[in-house]
Amino acid sequence: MVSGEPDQVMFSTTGKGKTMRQTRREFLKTVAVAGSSAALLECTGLLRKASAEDLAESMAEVKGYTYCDGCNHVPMCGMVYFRRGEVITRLETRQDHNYPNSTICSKGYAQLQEQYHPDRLRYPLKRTNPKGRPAKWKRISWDEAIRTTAKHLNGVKAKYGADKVCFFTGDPKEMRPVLQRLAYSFGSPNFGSESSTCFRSVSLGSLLLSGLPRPGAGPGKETRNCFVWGVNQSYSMATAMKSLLRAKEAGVRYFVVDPRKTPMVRTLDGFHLPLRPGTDGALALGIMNVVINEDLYDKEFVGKWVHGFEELKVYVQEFPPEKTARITGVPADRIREAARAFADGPTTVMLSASPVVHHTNGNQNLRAVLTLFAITGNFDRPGGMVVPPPAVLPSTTDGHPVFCRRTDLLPKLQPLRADRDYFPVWAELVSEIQMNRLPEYVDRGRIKAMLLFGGNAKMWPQPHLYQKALLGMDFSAAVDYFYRPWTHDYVDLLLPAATCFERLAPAAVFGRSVYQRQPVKPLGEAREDWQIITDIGTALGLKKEFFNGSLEAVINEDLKPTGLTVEQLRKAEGSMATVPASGAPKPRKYELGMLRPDKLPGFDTPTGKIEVYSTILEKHGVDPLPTYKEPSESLLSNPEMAKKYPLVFMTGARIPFYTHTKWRDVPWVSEFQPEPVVNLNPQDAKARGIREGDTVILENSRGHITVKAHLTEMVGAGMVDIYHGWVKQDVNTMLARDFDPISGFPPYKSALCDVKKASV
Amino acid sequence: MPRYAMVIKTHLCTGCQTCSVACKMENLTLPGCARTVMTERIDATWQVSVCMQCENPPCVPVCPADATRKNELGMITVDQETCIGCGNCIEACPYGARHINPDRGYFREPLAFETTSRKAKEAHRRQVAGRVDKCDWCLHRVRAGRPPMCVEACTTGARVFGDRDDPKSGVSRLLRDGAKPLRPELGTIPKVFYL
Repeated sequence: MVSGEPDQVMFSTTGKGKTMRQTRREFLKTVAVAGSSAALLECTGLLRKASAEDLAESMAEVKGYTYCDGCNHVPMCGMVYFRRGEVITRLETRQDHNYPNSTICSKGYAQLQEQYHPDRLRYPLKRTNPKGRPAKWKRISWDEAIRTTAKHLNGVKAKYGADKVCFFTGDPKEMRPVLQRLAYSFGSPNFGSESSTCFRSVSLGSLLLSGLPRPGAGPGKETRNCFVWGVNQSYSMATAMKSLLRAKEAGVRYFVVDPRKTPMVRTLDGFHLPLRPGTDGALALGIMNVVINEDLYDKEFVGKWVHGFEELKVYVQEFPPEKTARITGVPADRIREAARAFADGPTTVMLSASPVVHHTNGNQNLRAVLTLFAITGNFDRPGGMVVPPPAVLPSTTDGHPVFCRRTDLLPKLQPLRADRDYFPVWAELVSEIQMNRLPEYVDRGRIKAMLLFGGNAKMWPQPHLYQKALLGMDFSAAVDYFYRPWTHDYVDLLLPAATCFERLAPAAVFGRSVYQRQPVKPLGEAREDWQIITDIGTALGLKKEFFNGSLEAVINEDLKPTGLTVEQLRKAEGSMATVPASGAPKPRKYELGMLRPDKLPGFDTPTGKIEVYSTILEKHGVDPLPTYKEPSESLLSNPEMAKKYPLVFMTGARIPFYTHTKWRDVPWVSEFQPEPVVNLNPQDAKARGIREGDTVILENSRGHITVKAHLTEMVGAGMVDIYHGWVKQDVNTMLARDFDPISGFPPYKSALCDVKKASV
Repeated sequence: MPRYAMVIKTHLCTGCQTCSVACKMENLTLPGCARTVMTERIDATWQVSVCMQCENPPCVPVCPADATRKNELGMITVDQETCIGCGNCIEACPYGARHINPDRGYFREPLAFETTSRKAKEAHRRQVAGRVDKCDWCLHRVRAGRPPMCVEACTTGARVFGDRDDPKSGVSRLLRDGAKPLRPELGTIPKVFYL
């Protein structure tokens, strides 16, 4: 997908297996010609004939394209849908908008049941009773919904200031670019998302170390070893599995760092480093101890490009393999073997968004992991952690910085951020605010109103505080597919979102390829997020920024740097356009001045080097080295509590067919796990007299929930693993609001607990 | 005529259930009627089963209505219009591949894609309450030159489908590698093999 000649636009058509190479000018001409054919226009999702079709014609199967929002990942997998009339009847994988030779996952295929679910919201709703009680809804018009929202937001702006309005996105991610544009144009820096419990801590740790926002890379052609560090893609991104298996066939050796013996260990024939949750930093420091003491690091790279290596060298002496084994539970010989792999050649690491950073010491742990790959010279080395070239297409989820107004408006608004006093490191380096202190922001009058797109009040530890925060606002409106009482009983308006089959914006971007979806008519009056935001923006008086409510004009503004337009993409009928690369792929971009805005060699950090010793953390009074601290609630840090609650409790990891709270009402997937289940090691279960399927109580110092026991050797002895997102038996009630001081992340994966059989 | 077979590379199955959901979507099976059944073992490996399409199918001779037959491709089919729902075949199948359709769908009312599919007379998706349903290796797809849906959807390539008579096919290679059927002692001569 990224192999097109640099100066050519590639244009391919799914299903026909044809690929044409053209210049951009020729490409645009082709789509214009194709589009002029009336017959072709009728096949497109947007220009087909109205209801006058006779039955036979409307029942013919017509193909269209969209991309899946089933798991909220990036990139979203391409889907081919087949419709008869306006009704989509089946789905397939779009091969050219996916990992090569791959498939969408269970959630992708299950989209069909979600799309036509009887409970989907169809009309804008206004509550008729006070917030905080089971909502009584009254249908209103879109006109009233938009006017009401604009009136309240402008009211809060006039009375308290624009920054008192928070703009929040949960799931999916696609409206983020245009919502940032709205927030910053309105005058509020307080745009936030679920990424402040997910990807942004990994991103922040990487920015601190190297100035690069996206750490880690899958195996490439030259890769010898690939560390799969806390990622279980067989569950969380099944669509990528075939690529990893192909790399194994090509000779890549996998090391799987995971408390659980996930299917990654078996399918990739991985060397397993089964660590105790929350000890990733210690393990990385232990491996570095061997790497440094056995001279396996890259001396030339370290001498030239690493800041603080001498301090690190001293610090890692505190982590000899035997001691590291006692901390992490990983045998010392396994630590040595992992370290010696670095002598074999290019080594990369795959990191997921979350598990390493879901601890009170998470960000330092993450920095320790990345430091290991830095001192071994694997940053942007072929086969190592390759840095992708600058994107030429606007990211579907982050948007183009200029379109989002991150470059011109946000810098001036920074002093008004609600999170500044709580998480200064975050506030300096991450454009979106850290949402985890929302209750405090509301208590202190920093947030008075909120717009939520796919927001969920129960995603945080101690969820009742977040429901209370919503309750305490002057105004709030939520946009969603379904009425979710645990969130929407606390808002004023509930607006129906169009699904991924019904949305036009944003364009589907996969690497350098782009196409436009062909939406079917939405159910009821469901409206797509980008249109809702465009309408609100226009009603707020931001007519210029939101082109007087024209969705197409807004999308064109987003596409501006590519030279493409909605009209051109529409005429391409879903075919992929591939835009030219920004240049041939080049390794070691730090030598070439490609990583810094001033074009000087080096990394985009204050010292221009990889900051193993972070000058930014030093400035904020935080440990500059990636020091290891026990999670604040752990077997070693809290032995008294561990006597009563001897098991480590992990939550938040994906299972293959759910995404957080989503999918429970879609029976094609929910029949696999209709009720909450705790995964227990058979030894721990036996010691407690628990058998498969027993009802058990999971408890700790903060609360308890009642769930079913599932016995599996995937979970190591001494830990339990439970999927989150159940409304009644909610694991988040058992977690502490004990946030990582650097990232503000909650400890989803290191609480202590115990399990006992429920008395019958 | 090709001699189709399926091989399951057990060590590659992650239990992601994409095969199961793709099958439900493709064939519009009813609640509780999984055509492909996935069973988890305590060591987190999975037993994958589908209809074995036996050469010597115990289900065919016991059908009093002649609804279960072996077709020209050697696949075992059920004609749900002719089936009387007696359940003889369910008892006869040693692999648990058959089930009776319930008289309800997943929702109180059929969803739009179900009614539209029915209106369009998509024969392979028609499910009759009280009649026997089972996996037919997506005969409608195989006849169109495509693999069964579960094979196409498998996220790790753990399911391989092809012609045993073609020595270059994936299934031929895996059979040479020693893929074995389940319970060969029964004499059913299954066409599904496990590695």
